Amino acid sequence: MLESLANGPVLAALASGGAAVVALRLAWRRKGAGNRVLVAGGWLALALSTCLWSAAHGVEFGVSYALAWFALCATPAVVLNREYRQPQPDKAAPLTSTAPASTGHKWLTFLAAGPLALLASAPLTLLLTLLLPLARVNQMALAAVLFPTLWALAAYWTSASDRPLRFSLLFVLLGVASYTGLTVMNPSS
Amino acid sequence: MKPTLPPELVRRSLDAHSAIGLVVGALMYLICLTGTLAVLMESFERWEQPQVSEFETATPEAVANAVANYRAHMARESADAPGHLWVVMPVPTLPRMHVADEEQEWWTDSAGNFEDAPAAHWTEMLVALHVHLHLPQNIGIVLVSAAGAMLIALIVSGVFAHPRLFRDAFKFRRGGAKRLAQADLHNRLSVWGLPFHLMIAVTGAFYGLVGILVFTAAALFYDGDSDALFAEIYGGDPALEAPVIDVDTGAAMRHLADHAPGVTPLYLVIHDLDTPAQFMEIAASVPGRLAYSEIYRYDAAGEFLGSQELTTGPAGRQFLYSLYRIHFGAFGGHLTRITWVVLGLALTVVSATGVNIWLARRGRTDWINHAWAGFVWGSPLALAASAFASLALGVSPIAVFCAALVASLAYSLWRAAPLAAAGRLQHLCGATCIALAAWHAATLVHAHIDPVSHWLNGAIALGGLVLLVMGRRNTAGEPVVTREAIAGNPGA
Repeated sequence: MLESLANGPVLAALASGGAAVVALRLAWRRKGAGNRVLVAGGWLALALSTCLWSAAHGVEFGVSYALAWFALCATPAVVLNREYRQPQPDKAAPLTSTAPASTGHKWLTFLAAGPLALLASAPLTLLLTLLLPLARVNQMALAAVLFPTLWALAAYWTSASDRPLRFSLLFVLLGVASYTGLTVMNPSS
Repeated sequence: MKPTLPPELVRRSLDAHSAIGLVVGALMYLICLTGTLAVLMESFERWEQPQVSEFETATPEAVANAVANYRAHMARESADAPGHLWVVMPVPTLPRMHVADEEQEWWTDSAGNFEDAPAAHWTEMLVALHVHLHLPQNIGIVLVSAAGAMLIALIVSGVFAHPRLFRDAFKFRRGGAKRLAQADLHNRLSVWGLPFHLMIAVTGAFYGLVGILVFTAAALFYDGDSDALFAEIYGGDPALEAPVIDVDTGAAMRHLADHAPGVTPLYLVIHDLDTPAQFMEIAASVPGRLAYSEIYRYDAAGEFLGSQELTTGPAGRQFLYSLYRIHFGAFGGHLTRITWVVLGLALTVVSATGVNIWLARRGRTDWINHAWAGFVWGSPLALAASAFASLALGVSPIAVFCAALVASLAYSLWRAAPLAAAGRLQHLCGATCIALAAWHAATLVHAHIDPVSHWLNGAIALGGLVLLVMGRRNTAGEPVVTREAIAGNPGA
């Protein structure tokens, strides 16, 4: 495995990934034209690293390697920047920005962000992807990614709101409308 | 003027981030911890059973011999032919061959002669814990995938909740107030690992949630026949009706070597053995392609029928067939796996520190703090103890895991001092890890121990040492800091 690292493009990819982190670290929290150049250079070095990894291992592996290497390079840069402080006790801080919610409110938020958002996201995902002019296999592949993403966004938005009842109703309506839409358009018929 | 996020959005996003994190925090931590270790599942399999023969490639003759040995076994047992018979070939990360039907499994030597049955009980327990939490599979896998979807929600809300996330990319305060130290650790690991975390979340969410999509789509468009939907996505099986002959695996393997010389065979499977519909498939990884494999199909005589086009077909098919390798870092050999372990460990720490921040914000210590300390440090202890019990004593690893986790929780609740309890559990976990590595090295020294097992023993022992140091620091007690002391020492 180590032999696979000892070739030109990979060594250059490793170096440019490291250089990207170094440039970003040097420019961090500094102002001025020189630092703007460093920041731009850092991101360019990351792009170059990605291209070099892709040249060495193909684009499918190259992007994964480039991002993983970038994250690994950042670790020592962050650790070297650590600052020690005298231990202090924690002060209590508000747990939420709004007044504490009732138990019923919390359960309703859970119901809306969890099961209801899930049940609405599934048919909505299918409906949206089936409307796209793609082959069925590509529609399903897109749906496989879109479904958890839609659910996640719905859960986030519901949890950020203090009106779970409104979202519950919205998800029920969306789910019913999407199922109806799917039944009406039935792409297999 | 730099664009800034509206304060209301930031505030709401932080609320959502906290709420979702609290609901899934413990589940996320356990899934991340077991997933991090599961990246090394092949290495753990080798480590658990080091006496099995290892070799780099399987010859067509060895595969044919393995199938013949299976047939002889069937004849001795007067068993019916199986629906599927697999011959799984050696690959660099698991250089062993094994034969399996739906119920039984054997390792083989390089000539295809049967050896022991696989007995990687702890690895199986670990993988099952990660994939479905040892719950009924349909429920467990959906629950784990739901955690993946919630990880996407946490990433999105986390980005919106922390407008200084990128501006503070290198800020790392240690000491000081616990909440700030934990927040810095949480935020730094989150921001630098963001692409990896997003990739793990999306691919992890896929496995269980796709079942809901398939169920919905099949019910709506295929009269509930999910196989018909899968056939449209992945390509259908060939429908053969031919005289029953002995399958010629050698002919198929020789053809593959000529037809696709660059590919690495992963397994050969015979479907509907000894029936007119029987046919063979050889799955092989294709260089430079992330898709798990291409599948080449042959009839019983070894005549090529075509490929399933998993690496050349529609982009969606290739993408779906790539998700496993992305999620588990199953490409590029050991270095990729080590990288995935490091980044997975970072995500595990992010899960734990997220809850730690919330606990610190409360400004009080009660049973939740005690239980959380017991769970966080009891989980690795339970994994180490279950590995030791399974290998050394042959005890069921899941029983030991559950017992050790419950005992850790009980101890932490009884101790009622989270840092001290964490320290004790770290001590115990460290000692167990060192004992496990030492026992493995000493007891199995006469078996054929591959280099991977030595590295694994070294890593386990090193992890144990780190835990001992952490435990020593924590059992020394929480630093006694009072507001009065700080008020009297403005430099602090």
